Amino acid sequence: MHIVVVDPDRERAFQIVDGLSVDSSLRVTVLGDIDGIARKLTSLDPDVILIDLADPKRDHFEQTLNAVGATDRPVAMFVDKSDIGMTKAAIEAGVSAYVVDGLKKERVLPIIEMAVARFREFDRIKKERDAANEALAERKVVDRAKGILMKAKGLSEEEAYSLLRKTAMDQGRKIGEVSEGIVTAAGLLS
Amino acid sequence: MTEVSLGYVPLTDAAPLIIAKELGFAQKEGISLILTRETNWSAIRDKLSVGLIQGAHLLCPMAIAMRLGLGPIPRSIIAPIVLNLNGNTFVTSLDVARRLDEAGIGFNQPKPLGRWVIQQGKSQAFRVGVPYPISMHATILRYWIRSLGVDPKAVLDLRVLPPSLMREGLEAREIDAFMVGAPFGSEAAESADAVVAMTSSAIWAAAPEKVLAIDEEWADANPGTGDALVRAIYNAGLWAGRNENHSVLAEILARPEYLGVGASHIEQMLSGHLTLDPKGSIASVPDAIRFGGSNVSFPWQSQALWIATQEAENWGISLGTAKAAATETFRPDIFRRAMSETDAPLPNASQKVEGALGRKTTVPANREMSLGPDYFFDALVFDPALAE
Repeated sequence: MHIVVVDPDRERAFQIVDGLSVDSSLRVTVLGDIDGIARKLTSLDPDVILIDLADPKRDHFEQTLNAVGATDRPVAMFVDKSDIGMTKAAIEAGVSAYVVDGLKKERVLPIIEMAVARFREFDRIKKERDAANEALAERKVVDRAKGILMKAKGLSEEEAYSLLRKTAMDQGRKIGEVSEGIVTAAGLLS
Repeated sequence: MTEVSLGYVPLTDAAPLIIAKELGFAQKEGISLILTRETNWSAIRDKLSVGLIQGAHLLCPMAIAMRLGLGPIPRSIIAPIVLNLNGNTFVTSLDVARRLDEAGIGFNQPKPLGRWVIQQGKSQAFRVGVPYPISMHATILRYWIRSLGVDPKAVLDLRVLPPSLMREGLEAREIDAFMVGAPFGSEAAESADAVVAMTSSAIWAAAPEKVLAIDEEWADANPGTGDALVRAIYNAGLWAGRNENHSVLAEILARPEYLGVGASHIEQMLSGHLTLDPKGSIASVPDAIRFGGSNVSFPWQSQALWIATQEAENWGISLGTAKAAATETFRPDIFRRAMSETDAPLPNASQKVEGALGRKTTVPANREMSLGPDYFFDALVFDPALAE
């Protein structure tokens, strides 16, 4: 069975390929972009196409699939129209799967399940990374605000930090927001 | 507060949803709106299909098509309120614009422009970008060519492209022109590589464009919340329709979390003063896009029937089936129920003759209500009772 993964995100595409490579009966092709898929479709002859639900070119892609139109092309989306649970899970995870109609459900289901799991995992890692980056950026700005306060008011590091924390609490704002205000103001005044 | 999730595509006509949330019209009705921005219409369709969202900003014909099962997962969707009339622009490449100029065809001249497109299309299909195959963009284009006596399939090649990539498509010479929703028409015209040749309102002066689509199963189970949602969207649309609010509306829509484009592009269409080309030519089109109260948002069944009549053959279904789906989708009865205790004008009829009004005209209703102009470029008068 031939699986085509269309994903401009190389990292996520490779994660899916990794997941699929467990089954040696599967052949996997990764395309970075939808462009030109109409020309490639016949030679690729995929049984399943996996694509990001939020890809801006997905409407274009569906038109291309419909235009090719042959019965042996993947046009039916998702495994089984009666299996709304799996379909819902896939859409929620952000995967859209195009499957050749009539392909055996037990062959396709594990592939979709794997793609859903990988999309979720990728999303989780991305969120964690974003949160970590944000925390790091906040620590940097707090450090700079502390430095500015220490210099301007002759405070120790600890005193500068308590002043920031107290101000944040009094104003019901985050310590990062207060620090950002100080850094911006200092930049304007210097 | 009841939470309701609605999907939208970042376009000017998502305004009633965004304004309902931002200016508290939803909150006043006891609804906490969760808006999810989508990058393609297929994603909206899929999320509606499996009930991940309760409703969406949706292309009129798509709502009817979903009920007909034309997508991968059929789902019965209703349209209890229309979000806007018009809003699309027909934009050409500089090369096409130059040739139109040579032929003496100016802005908003649908008849000569249509004949010119037909002439071009006879040797090689004229390629027009549309955002989705099932859209008012496509329906109006096909109607335009068919009304000039030619089968649109013979001369038009409609290619689906996301609005944000239409201009690239022109540059790459993959398309000759495109029909796109606001604000992307104005944006393109100021980009130095495209020219606005026509607004969709030149073909039909009062074409329904987007609807608030709601999952029928959810609406049946939660009539109170559904009605409250209709009222919130109605009041937001009424606010968005007032001239004095257009600058603020443009500012809100322009925010990065919503459309993320320049407010001036959005305001152009709202004000009806359109920049047409890189030289800065300006045209005044008062009804380029319309928001408003009952005069805009009442879901006339005749609008849905017009769409069904136009598209049945193209969709490969019988006219009877298409018409039945149309009247099951557009739901004036829900609009009436939701608005009954308010001062919104409610017309006496649920269907009207489309295309008969040459100017603004008072119509029979429980309160002062006027409609129009709603004429078609070819002077069609569409009587739903006679539609075959």
